Amino acid sequence: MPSTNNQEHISADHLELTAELKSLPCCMAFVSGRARQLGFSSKRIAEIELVIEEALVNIMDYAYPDQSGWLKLKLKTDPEESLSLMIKDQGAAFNPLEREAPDLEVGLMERPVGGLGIFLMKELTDDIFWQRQGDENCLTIIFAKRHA
Amino acid sequence: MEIKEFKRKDETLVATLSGRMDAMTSTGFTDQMGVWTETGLKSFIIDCSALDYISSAGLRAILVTAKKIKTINGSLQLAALQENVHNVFSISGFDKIIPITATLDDALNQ
Repeated sequence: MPSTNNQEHISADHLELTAELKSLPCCMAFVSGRARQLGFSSKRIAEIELVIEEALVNIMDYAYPDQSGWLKLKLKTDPEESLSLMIKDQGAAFNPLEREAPDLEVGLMERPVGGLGIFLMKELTDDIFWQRQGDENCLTIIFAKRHA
Repeated sequence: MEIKEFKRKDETLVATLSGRMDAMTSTGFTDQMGVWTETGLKSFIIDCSALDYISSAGLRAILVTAKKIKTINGSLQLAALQENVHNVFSISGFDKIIPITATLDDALNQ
């Protein structure tokens, strides 16, 4: 059963935590530890950590505005040596990938504050897609060893 | 993340920024820069050689600070970004709106 308290559920491929900022280091260590085992470069691991932060902070900011909630991470590896991460939450249906990309050409004072997190996620992943499954948001992210 | 004064050169404050600038830490940057600008300082060089990681929260803190410094006709220069941090700046187009030098000496000698 999903837990909404601070209890952590950790297994080799699953992690379930409360959706709050203090869960972030644990989530990052979970994914980057596996990437390291698979021989991902430190450069690619830094990019993976960035994507994890952006995805999770987004959930922490938007999924549960009025109550606490959980987030679940599930890792899978495939024969082509890519790492697949599925992140689930039980917040209102929200597809972060629909957010418009920021205009990167405008000057300093015209640059809007915000909107870069999702843009960075798209830029640094090899595939990323969102589905609503029942009452859950499900974001699937694929990291190849070498990002094209 | 840690930001601290390294030295002053004329009217410029040179600070070192180190560690990880993320959703948990980056307000520390905005706060410290705010403290310095409130003392009347306007010109800053930030040595980023020990900055290991930056996320969009860190970029946000830098953007907010850079805008504020611009409104007081000051300057904010970043120096010696590590490769992965520079990569995030490039992808985000921040290398076009924030002055960056390859080394701290390059910034000091400008």
